[in-house]
Amino acid sequence: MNAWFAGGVLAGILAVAIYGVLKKRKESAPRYDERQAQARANAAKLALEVLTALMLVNGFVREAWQFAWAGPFLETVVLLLIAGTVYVLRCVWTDAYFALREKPKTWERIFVAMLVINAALGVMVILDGDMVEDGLLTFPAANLLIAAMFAALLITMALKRRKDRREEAEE
Amino acid sequence: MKNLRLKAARAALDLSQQELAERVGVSRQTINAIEKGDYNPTINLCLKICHALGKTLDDLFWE
Repeated sequence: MNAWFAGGVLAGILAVAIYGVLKKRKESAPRYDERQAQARANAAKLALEVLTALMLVNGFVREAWQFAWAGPFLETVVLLLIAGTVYVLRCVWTDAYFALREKPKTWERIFVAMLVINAALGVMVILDGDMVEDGLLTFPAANLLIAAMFAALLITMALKRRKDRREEAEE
Repeated sequence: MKNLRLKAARAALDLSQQELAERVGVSRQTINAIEKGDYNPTINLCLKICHALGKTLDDLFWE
């Protein structure tokens, strides 16, 4: 992976973060109710704990067993993706992912598209034989992980919907 | 602990959890969590719920 590509990825992440902050400042009414805000805080705490544990295990494996499975940047991205997935799944399960005025169905369509695109890219990487280089996972391998993340998200959303329907029936 | 008084007060007005949630400005699942005793609302939310149902804090939340 060359520096320009990495720079592009970082610039993309930065752009999304800045957009998110600016968008948040524009909104005056609270997006999440108090229970959702608390659930999101708890989910963030859990994700941080998971990330810490993963970093320690990964560091140990690298140091003690001299085993590297990917380049440093990809390792970081993978660990962050796993922790991020934990956060998102926890938020979805506790109904704290979507804000009060957000439409989950719209986002679901976007998530399906992201799953399909990343899965397709991942399959292309496998077919091209570009998944592993010199015994290390290459950066394009992240597409499959992102696809797995969206798959887990969609499955969790479907299970949550089923749980909500049961709750509504019991009302 | 379950809040059956809240559930009864909501049912007396023939409101669904979703309808009460919209009146109060929270999600349906938050109302559900309060009724099931899975979440303790803040005093502000308690007051909003009381106002929406025409009840007092004693009626719905205080022992």
